[in-house]
Amino acid sequence: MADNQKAVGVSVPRIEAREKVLGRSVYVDDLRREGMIWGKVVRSPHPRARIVHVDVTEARGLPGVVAVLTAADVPGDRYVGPLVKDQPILCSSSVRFEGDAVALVAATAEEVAETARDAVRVEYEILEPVLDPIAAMSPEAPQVQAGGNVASYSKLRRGDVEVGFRAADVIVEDSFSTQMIDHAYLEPEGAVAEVDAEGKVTIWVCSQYPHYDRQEVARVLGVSLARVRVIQTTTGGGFGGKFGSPLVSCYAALLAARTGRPAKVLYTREESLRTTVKRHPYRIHYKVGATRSGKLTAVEARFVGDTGAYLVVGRAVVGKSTSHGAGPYEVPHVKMDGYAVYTNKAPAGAMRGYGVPQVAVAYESLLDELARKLNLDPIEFRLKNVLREGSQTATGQTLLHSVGVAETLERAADARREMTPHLKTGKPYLKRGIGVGVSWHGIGAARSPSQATAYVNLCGDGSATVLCGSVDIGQGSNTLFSQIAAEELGVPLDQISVVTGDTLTTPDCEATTATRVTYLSGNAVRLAAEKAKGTALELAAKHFGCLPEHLILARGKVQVPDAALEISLTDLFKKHAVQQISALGVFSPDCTPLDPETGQGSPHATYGFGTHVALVEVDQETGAVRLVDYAAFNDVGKAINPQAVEGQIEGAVAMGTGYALSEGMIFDRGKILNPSFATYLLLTAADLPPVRVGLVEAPEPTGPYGAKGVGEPSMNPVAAAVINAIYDAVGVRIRELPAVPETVFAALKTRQPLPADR
Amino acid sequence: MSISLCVIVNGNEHHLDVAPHHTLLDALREELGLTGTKRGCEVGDCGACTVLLNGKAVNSCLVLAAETEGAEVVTIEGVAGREGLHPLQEAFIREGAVQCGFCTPGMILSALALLRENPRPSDAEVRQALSGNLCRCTGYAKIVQAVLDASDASLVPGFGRPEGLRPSR
Amino acid sequence: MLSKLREFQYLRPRSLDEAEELIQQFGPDARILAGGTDLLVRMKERGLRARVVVDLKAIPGLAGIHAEPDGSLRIGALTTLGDIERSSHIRAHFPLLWQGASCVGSVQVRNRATVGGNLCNASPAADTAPPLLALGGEAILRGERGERRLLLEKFFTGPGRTAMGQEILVGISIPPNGAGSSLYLKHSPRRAMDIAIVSVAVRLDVDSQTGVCGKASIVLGAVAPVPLRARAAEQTLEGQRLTAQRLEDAARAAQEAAQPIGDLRGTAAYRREMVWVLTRRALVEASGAGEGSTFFQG
Repeated sequence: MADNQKAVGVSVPRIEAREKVLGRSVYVDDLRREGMIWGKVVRSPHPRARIVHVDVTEARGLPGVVAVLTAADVPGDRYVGPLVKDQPILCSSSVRFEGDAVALVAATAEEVAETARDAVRVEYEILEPVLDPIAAMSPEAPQVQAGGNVASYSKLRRGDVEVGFRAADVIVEDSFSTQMIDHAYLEPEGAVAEVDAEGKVTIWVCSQYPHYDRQEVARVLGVSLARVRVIQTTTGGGFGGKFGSPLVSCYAALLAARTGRPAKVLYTREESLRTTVKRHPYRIHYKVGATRSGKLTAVEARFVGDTGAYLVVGRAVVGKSTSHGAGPYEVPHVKMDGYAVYTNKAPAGAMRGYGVPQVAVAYESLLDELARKLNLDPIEFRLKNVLREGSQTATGQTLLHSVGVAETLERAADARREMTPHLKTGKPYLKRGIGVGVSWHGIGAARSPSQATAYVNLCGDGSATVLCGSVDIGQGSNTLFSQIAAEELGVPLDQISVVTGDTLTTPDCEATTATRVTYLSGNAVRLAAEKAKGTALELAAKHFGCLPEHLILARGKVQVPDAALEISLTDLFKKHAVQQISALGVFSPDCTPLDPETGQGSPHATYGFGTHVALVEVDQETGAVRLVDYAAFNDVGKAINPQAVEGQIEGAVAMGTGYALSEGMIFDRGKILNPSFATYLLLTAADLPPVRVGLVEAPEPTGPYGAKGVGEPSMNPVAAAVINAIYDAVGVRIRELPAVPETVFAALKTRQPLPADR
Repeated sequence: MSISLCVIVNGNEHHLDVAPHHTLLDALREELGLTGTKRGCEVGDCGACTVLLNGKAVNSCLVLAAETEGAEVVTIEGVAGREGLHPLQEAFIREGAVQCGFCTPGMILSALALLRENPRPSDAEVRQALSGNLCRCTGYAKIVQAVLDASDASLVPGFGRPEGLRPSR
Repeated sequence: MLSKLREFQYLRPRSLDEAEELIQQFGPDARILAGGTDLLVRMKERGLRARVVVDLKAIPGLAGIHAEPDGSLRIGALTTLGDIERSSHIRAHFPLLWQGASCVGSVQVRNRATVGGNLCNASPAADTAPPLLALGGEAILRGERGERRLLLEKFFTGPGRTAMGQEILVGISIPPNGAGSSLYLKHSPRRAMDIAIVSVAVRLDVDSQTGVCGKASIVLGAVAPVPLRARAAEQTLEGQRLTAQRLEDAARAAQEAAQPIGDLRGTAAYRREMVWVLTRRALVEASGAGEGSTFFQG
């Protein structure tokens, strides 16, 4: 940046964009190693079965096959999982979902590995699968996991909902269900592993958390962390689905360790859709009360999250629903009960929004119903209740700063006004409507302690290297880090190098997840850069005989602005016999964990907020819904890179609209029927309108330059806005996602006559 | 048993021996090391492997390498000229149309094919032309904008972003 | 399970005679490759095996759009859907076919997929089939005993099955379209890259003086084992003045003719309802009773 130009708050292009448009970025499937073998996973075709016998003879005998491994061949621990070690790398006695891994084969060519995979004979005793999460909660249900099917129970108790409902003039109550969806990043999961002459294993993997992958690989191989290095390759999207890629990392590592040859395991799209973690499907029941004047008095809710065969992060996902279930509103009486329940389906894990989109769509639907019963405008009604500075959340946390939700609502009202002239259609069967959705999202994981660490090495020419464990998965965090370092150190962006995603060189910063990178890791980078600068200024202060506060660092020189004096860092370093200045930045957000009985506490240091407005067109005769216009307002604290923030929000709108309208894993007796992009329907460019994005910046004093984050807060309100718009258009309440044409058609058939004013 | 063929890739003639069951995608990535063409689904549903075959956008996963005897293929590695990036590539960078980047090569090739046939497309035409290329990161907004920016439409007076809501700060 | 292609022999005949010989020689072991957008997907996704793949694309004369002086049209079987989409002649004179071809898959798919492949694949949801049936198209088949013509209506015998013996579909012949008005409607969740839940092609010859309907064609997609001509519905209209009631009656008749199954795209009951909605809508638009005849998809 030029001296008068800032790096923060500027829409700089992302630092790796040139590589990407040239097709030169190296993704995991682009890696080739001399003598590399291909691994494939033998998977169960049954959702629940006992493994009677595994016969690998034929597979092992095929020409080109170099390894066939079963559970007995795993040298270390056989189970992985971020919260509970419950997922077998390879199953030995039973399989718990269609796609559970039973054996691992490797061959010199991918086709041969596939043939070997198909040649492994597994005899199963098929058992009746547990599919319905509600039925699974019954003590009589067959047990998916030894500890029972109720994997977790999280509670929130604030005030007394009985009192709250007695104070209410209007109460609405309803049940909703949401579907299982896939992250559907364009790059499927994969890993390459290689063992060096010392026996150390290096793994290249597309991942949101290479340090976690290292832990699991070390455990599974039965070696120390020092023997495993994980390097994140350019990652083609994550959204929570690559929140650690321990399974695929372990498969590649096992094969490399067993054969001594480099091994690649790359999932097919079908494997990715059928077997990797998903968004939790939810069953939701809400009861919400308000006074005649439009003040919320009580919210009571019960959620059951179907976590599938393994917990992964199910407990935390449902916990997030519980803490966020009352929305960004002041509600005096709140009662929430959330359960994560095991079933014989693909495990649900982390996915952008982490339990909040599910409850937001149900809750925001009911807030619209309340507003209608109270004859209040939906935005006005919400404005009477939203959190403001000084408000207490449902967890009893007082928010002192950066509560921009009211402003997002006010901006949304303007957008709605602009959309209103477009409500008319040329056809009697096409009806349009506008819906609003509001949501929030706590920044960072809801626990304590949590921290981010970064190093900055400042060189004599003013350039610097940032080392941080938080990886870029496509959202642009490496660019963000370079912007922050450039801002602090007073150099152009190209003078900053960013190293992330290598367990050998970067500190463990936890996962790129939970909308935590800008706030936590951004702060760590900022603190490290600030410290490096501080050290340089102190050296210069000695040199000039002045106070460091009177000095500035810019373009590799320390200047005394008042006296027009300057010294280059090169000279300064030489004078003090310093090669470079290295500084460590550590940031821990200020939070307190939730009380397990009451759900009270301050789980997040700060929150992102958003109000979204959708204009949809519903074909009353077919049930088809089309998004016509969309406006998204998110309070991000501060947009360090406005263009990148807009990009996050635009992506969230597409993902959220797909969640509302078209996406969903379709099951038949526990088997997924649509494991392809021809049948699992992501919206295309032709299905989406341009999106208007409005950034609200209510600065967060503890954030880097006031920034909070946007990844999840932008996702959470989308489906709610779309579903509310459908109601506004045709007067039917969709309680079951996705609102595919047939679902909307069925709802239209049972529709009550429309209010006379429409 | 392999098949010998001659194919022009990014302007260079290549003599390849390919297995009959290998696709153009396999040949580009495995034989020629052109890994900019991405493997996203293998069955023509995602568009990540889009290349130009005799000037037309195709899914290289659904073309046998053997079918390309004598054909001209353009991959992402052949889009930039000696003078530098293609205007589409510049626009993708400038507009923030690149996030994870996995769909980017295919998107650029679909856009290139569109602009050659229709140098002045509308927003809707760009969206139709890109509808065979899935993207999970961007919501397509900045991709469509980048294609419009790189088109002749950008030379028309009054061309600009669709009326959006400006950030407040 | 999605897999890479398995080894096969790839043969590229240079003439129809050579192609026929190969087909006779290998019989069911041979798979005919046209655009590959169906065949290769079935081989990768559903484990369809082929010992021999016979690629027809090197045979001269199998691709191309020929407007005949009498107003009829001949389309080579290997003509891509993209070429049909780009044909201003087809767009102007056979808009029904243009609409069907333009809504298949994506640009990339249409640049490979051929009209012959779309028909021979014999999916009840094939987007070119209802338009071609409605236009009275004929398949031109080449076999041991020379060339024969078969009305496309008789071409399909079931899902994935056709009336072809060991023959090659070399082209499609379409009679002159005249002044009839027509419309193809496709109902699918996405506006691109999707397969029809239900589709319908209608074509009406309405006398502009009398308002009486001459020949009517109504063909349904994705609601029967084959693309289905709804004859009773057509008869409801032929020789009649097209009142709103008449159009509705025809749509009801089409609905009664449909024999849909349920699958992951929709239940049988929903499909049946959509036949009525789409047929009525298409008839209203095509007969000029609607407001503007826009190509609808959604």
